[in-house]
Amino acid sequence: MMRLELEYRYISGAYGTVFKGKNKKNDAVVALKRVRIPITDDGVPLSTIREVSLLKQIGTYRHPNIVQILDVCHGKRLEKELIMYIVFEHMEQDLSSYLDKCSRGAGIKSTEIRKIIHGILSGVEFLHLHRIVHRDLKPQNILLTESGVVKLADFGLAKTYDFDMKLTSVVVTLWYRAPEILLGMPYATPVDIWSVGCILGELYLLKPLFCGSSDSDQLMKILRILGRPKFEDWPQDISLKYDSLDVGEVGDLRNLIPNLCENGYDLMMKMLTFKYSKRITAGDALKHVYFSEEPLDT
Amino acid sequence: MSYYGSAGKYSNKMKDVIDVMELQREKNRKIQQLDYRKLDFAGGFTPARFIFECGMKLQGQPLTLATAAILMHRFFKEVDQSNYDCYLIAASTLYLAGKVKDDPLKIRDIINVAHNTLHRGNGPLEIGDEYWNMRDAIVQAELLIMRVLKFEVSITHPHKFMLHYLKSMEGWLGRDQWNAAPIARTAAAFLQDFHHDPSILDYAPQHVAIACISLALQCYGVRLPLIEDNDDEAWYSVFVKDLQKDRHWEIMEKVMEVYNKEPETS
Repeated sequence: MMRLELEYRYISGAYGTVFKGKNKKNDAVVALKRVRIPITDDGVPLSTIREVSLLKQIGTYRHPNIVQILDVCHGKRLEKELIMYIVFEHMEQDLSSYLDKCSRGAGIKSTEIRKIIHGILSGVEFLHLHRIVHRDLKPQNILLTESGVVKLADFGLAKTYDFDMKLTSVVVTLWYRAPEILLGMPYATPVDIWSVGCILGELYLLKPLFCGSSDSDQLMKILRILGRPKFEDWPQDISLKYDSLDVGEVGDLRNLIPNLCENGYDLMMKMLTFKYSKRITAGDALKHVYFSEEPLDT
Repeated sequence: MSYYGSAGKYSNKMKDVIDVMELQREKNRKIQQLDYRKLDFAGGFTPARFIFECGMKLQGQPLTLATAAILMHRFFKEVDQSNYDCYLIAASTLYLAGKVKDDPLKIRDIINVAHNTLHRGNGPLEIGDEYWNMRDAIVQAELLIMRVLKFEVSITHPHKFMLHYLKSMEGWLGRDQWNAAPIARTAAAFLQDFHHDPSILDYAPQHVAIACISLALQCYGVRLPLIEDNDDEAWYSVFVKDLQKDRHWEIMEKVMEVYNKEPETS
């Protein structure tokens, strides 16, 4: 077992608090995520047991685009909950701070964007192959190593986090949410592809693609750029009727992101496909010609 | 088809196998009712036996029971066995395994079945202090097991490997020969019974699967076509490359030993 020393708290996010810590054995700096596990009359919830054990199993594969899980430790035991710490490798930079830095400078080279998106998609494909839906992909939980390799963080505990979220009142960002989540429909792996599509746009645009302030506002912002979906792609079994959709003037993604190349645009549209069953999969996206075209420096 | 295979270097070992099978048949005529309260830990055999008996009564999936047995063996590998009630741990691993495998077993059913298996002939436990104490004990023990096992509670079972090996062998042997002997059933029975012994933790799941199939093949004297019987290559080399012959025998012997550990009933 690791001996850890908490240094200081540095992010109090929607999904529990993250601490920076030090492994006393080798002085390695680690990130510690504190998660509250409810203990009911039935003991530890089934979802937590399944998620934590899956997370530990995932760690053994050491995928290059997945943040390395070093350990799972238990902390304080209270009457009705157990504090658990998940120990990750620590990284100084995430995609959000990187975007910040680049937006104040010269932007991001398109070859660099391609590398980042390829890394994200590789990580997403790996998660999907292991039956994990990330559900909350966004620049804040995509970490960057010093050599520019992306690593996905904050996955695999969706149901465990749900409990934690009920206890915190932090607003979760909606900007990367797929339409099916916004519409309250059942969802699966395609939601992550949607998020990657949003991030792809953001890397070119240097600001978020769709910045809604509520579920319905978010949906409207999406439709105002992508246009109203085809009638047959609109879900039948929801209260929001197709005919009542008043989208108004529709912008054009091409004009919005003029520096996006042809193949990049094609891939992005395949990732931002409204109907989730028609959305491209991570595996197919990785085979897209966008990733194999001649490197161009812009 | 010869029941004893060809005479030769395996004949001594083969005799063991046949003896085991005979013993098994003898014992299986009547399911013995063990009085667990009189049994000792027996290297983990007793709680494993308890898990399988209770688990079957609870109609848990075979993989759920296998998970419970593995978790129990892993737990007792980490702690001093004399500090814990092995039946409480066994019942708790069943409960935990149900959650791990998404085959939830109700805690109340587990308590009733465990209680009745320990105290045969008694009626169901009344809802009272004893019931609530047991319930609390299981919930606490579940958490303890998780912590002792450092939350590593998902297991790679030999079963899935065994299934694929057997499926390939079905085509390899041809339908007629395949149906002539219950290879799959026997191999699966060996595998399940091997879960009574903590030594199952020492071997790769692929290797355990192969050893159980080998044992089943030998029991029924089935030989695989197109395989030369030589020392350089084993029949299973198409499936696993890293299983040495002596290790293969070692696992088979461990599987056979399980049948000697079964307590005698009067």
